[in-house]
Amino acid sequence: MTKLLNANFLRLWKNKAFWASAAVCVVLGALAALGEFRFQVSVGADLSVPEVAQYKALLEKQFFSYTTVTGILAAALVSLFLGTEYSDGAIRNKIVVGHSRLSIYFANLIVGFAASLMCMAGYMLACLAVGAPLLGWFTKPAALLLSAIGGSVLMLAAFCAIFTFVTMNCSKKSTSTVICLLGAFVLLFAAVYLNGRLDAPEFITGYEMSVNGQIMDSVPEPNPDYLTGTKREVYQFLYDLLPTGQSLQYTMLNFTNPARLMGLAAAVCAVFSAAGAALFRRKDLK
Amino acid sequence: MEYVLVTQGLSKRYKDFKALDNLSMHVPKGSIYGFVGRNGAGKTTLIRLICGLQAPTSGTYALYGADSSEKDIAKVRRRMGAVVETPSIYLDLTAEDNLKEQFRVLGVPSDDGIPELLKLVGLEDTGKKKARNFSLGMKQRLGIAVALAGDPDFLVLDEPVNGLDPQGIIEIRELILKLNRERRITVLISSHILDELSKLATHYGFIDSGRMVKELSARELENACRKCLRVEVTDTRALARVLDGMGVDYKILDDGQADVYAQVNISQLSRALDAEGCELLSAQERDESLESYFVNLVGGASHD
Repeated sequence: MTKLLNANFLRLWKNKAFWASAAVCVVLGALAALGEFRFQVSVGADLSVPEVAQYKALLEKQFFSYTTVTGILAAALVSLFLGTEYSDGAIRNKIVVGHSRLSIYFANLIVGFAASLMCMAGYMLACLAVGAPLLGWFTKPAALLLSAIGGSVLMLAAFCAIFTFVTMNCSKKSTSTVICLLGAFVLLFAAVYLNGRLDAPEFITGYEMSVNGQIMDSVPEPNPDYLTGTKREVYQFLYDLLPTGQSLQYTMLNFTNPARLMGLAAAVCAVFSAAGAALFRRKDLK
Repeated sequence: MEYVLVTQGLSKRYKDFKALDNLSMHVPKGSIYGFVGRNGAGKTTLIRLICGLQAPTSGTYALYGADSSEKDIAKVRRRMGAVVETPSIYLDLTAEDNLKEQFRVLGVPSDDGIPELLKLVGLEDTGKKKARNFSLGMKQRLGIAVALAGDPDFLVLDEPVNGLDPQGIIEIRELILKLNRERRITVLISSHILDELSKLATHYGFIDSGRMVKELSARELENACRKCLRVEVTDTRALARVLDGMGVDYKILDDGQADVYAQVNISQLSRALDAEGCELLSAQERDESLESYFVNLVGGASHD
């Protein structure tokens, strides 16, 4: 597999789409920090006051926003980079000379993950480089930040496992690219929907207008959309399971059980990799 | 005879379609084996199987004696190079980068062999030009160079001259002959362009509807296609005596027929046979081309 990895990385370094993606990530990271700074200045926030910076946790807010777009980025990178193996027919060169299909599959998974990770790192470093001087340093506990970074790396691995599964088992580059990108969006919308349902308040309070024209809060009533019991557990499980669900939690730094998220991401990665490799082993190639 | 590739009862089925049907073939070491068949006859399917791109539904094949069901087959494949259908090259890389890539795949420690390989296929002056901008012939030659990167003993080429202009066809032909003669590489070429194959092949395998119809050497084929006079006589033993006396080549086909490979004077032959108590019933000149041989073999126009 080392030979295949060498070959894959050699091609990655010469791949314009990869460098373009990495450059876009760097620019986005820098713009995210700069945009936040300009917004805070426009609303008159005095970021030189440590308490203000600490309260707002502005660097964290922008630093972890990469996780929302990571899935879409990985979908594009993995499907385009690996899809070329099929569209140009080069995957045959590896099989004809005796490389096992498992080695080919996992070498491709690793290079796709590495490429996505490098782009993600580009965003983070650019955001940090521009954001730290402008927005101040991180203010949240280091353990929380480290678990979010570690978790998002595993989440990225889960995304790459899903997209490698699709790309390696679909012989048409255009089809696999469309499936991966659409899939990334569908997963993102599903996560947003789940988040909305889980965030629904237990009680809703309306407004009432009294006879003398005053507006008052009404007596809180149970929210019919509030999830309870097994249904809530299922929704929460799906929200934690979906890499896009995890991405929202990491973006907002709103997670209580990082070990559970990491475990689920690792499970998604393992299941899709095993299934993808098994299918690819039996696939008739042209 | 030592064989590079032997297949036994190889079959491949795609749902209800049988692409290969109990196919047996033998590719001798050092040969240029012309694998002849119409479009859809099963040529590419066989190549896909022996290259490991697909698994046979039933039957086996052996590469350099290693059976396809053994684990060693992967190691033996290291001795192979192949261009299956279209050349397998990265279009956004240069010729040199494509070879570097394949050298990594093979684990070749140094890139020193790349200039020689590019020169061999006539692509040494392509510089930074991307393979995307190559002509079809150049792509084909780069595909062959990639297949040669591992210094293979066995080269498999699937329709290598398809779509090429006459100059491109000549270049590929000369390259194949050079590889076979100078590097002793055994070459399996599938094609339906018979005229082109006849300029290269030392052995032939004719495939039709997934079955091997006939395998023979170029010499056997030449004999079969040789211009001859097919004579019908009452006694072939008498005919043999007469022809031996005349010192000409012939082949007795059955009790009443023979092919005579020479321009003979019919009156003279008839008189000589008469003297031996044998009657000349008919004489017909035959001149079979490879094309008509193939058509006769696979049944002509009845196929799609």
